[in-house]
Amino acid sequence: MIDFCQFMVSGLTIGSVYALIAMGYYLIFISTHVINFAQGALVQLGGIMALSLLLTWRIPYLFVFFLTFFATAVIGTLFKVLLVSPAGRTGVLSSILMTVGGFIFFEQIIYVFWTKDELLFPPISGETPLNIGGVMILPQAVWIMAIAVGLFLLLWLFFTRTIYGSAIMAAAEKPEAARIVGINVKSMTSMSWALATGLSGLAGILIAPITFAGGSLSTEMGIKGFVAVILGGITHSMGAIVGGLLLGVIESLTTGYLSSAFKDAISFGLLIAILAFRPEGLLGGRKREKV
Amino acid sequence: MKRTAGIQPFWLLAVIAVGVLPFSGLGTYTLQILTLAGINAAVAIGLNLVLGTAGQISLGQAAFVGIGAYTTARLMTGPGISFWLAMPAGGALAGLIGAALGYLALRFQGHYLAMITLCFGLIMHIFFLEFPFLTGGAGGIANIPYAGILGHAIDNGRDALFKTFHLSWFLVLLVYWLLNNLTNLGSGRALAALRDDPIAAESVGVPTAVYKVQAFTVSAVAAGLAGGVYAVHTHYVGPEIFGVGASLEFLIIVVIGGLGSPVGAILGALLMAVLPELMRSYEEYRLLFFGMILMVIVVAAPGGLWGGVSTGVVRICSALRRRFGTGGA
Repeated sequence: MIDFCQFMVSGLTIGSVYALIAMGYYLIFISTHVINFAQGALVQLGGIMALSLLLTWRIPYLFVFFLTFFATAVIGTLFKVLLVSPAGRTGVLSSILMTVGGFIFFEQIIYVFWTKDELLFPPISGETPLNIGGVMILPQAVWIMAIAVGLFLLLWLFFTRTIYGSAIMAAAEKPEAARIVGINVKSMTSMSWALATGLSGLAGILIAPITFAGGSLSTEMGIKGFVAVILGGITHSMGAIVGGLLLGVIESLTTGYLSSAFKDAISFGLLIAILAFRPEGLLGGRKREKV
Repeated sequence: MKRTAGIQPFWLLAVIAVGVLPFSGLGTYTLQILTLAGINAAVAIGLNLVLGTAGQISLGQAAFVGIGAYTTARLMTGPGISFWLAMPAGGALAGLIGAALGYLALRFQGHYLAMITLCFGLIMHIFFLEFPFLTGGAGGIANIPYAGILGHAIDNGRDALFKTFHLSWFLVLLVYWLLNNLTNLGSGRALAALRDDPIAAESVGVPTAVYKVQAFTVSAVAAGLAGGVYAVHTHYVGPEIFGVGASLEFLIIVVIGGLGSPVGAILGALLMAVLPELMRSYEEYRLLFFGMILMVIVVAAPGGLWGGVSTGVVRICSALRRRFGTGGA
């Protein structure tokens, strides 16, 4: 039983990070109908930029969060405005190729400007695990879950309580109607990209102390976030959260009871199974969209 | 397109060029680079059929190369089967799995298909790593023998290098010839129709499903055969060679060369092989550079290198014609 609880805790921890990345896919997909293949590289870019800020410039952790969010958001928005949007005009294939190109570019930026190695990343506080009834919890895990919950609450408040949030949603769901009531759809979709890529950067800071900082995990982070959002349902606002947590738990249980070698194979298999049998995800309605 | 019977001069020239080139005094190193370029070109021509002609995306092409390479390597090192049986076996296995992926492609398009093929590549990578009794695990399979001819083993050295060079570039010509015929005949037009307007194609009676699966299968067979040549070229196969990175490089080759044109795929493969040699001191920046080129081409020159060259040639020709009247046209 203690084993099971232990696996659940680590599953929910990594799941929270997957949920943040998945949120990025969701925001970008509903606003621009693009799946951003560069997402995973932006997660790792956020992590490594934060590491530089922390170690080289000795900036306090709290400010590092703001700076990284801001930096990845700016990079993501520039990428969207300068490259992805123009490419999208020539068709879906071009926008896929563009974001794949972005993935290679951002991943290589990490290799060229930082290092090919995986770097240790200091946790937010302490490394001594807390012992709660025999279940060991790293302080970083508590931080990850707390910050993720905090971010989701902020997002929820932003989208339901502020005029900007409503405008972004309106522009995403009914662009024509939004245009008629005077919303600048273009800048709203850019805003979605900014939020989404900024969140990816934050996910990078949170996960780095548990994995490592560096470019080599880019593909894995990108895929896991995507599997999470597909699992939950890419058109449902809660899909990212449910899918992320579920994927984290499934992975953690597979690693615990089977072998870590197959945890990735199981999540990729899950992706194909979900797409084949329930493409709208667990939460999505039975509304089929042609993608 | 006009089709003439008999052997066209182009093919005669190409075959002679490939046959003679190794004897023209090129260095061993250059030949090795060119052999690898040929292997990549064969894969790229196949991928181009899926990507450029049918407009479907595959981000897992290196997995098919891996399937072909591992099958060839395993059959040659284990039971000691001849290369000439092992390589087609690898191609056939890759083709089977490619057909299965093609069936998945019937249900998914665009971004979803891209992700599925990416996941397929990752799953195959895990397979290469985690099934050591078949694939040698993380260590891979080493000491793969040279390809023999008619039961005669080829000795080490320059002779063998000539043979693998011939193998790789004759494979390129074979794949090129097959696909050229395919795209000029009905199914090629059907594939192009599929890319441009799938619904219209379906409504005029094009069996789009059949052609989609066909494109995936053919491209997988090409990749599998190229993998077989790769195995006897390097004498070693390992999981790291056939990962996502390699799949992305194939994608870059096709896009840089020019989507939809087999010649472009060959140009792309040559460029990707030769350019890094020219900019050796900037080795670190190689992929960064190619990532940038990929993005710039998608936005600024969707026709790629070959598209640029052919529109350039057309422009120059029409300019000349305007300048000197219609003579010769």
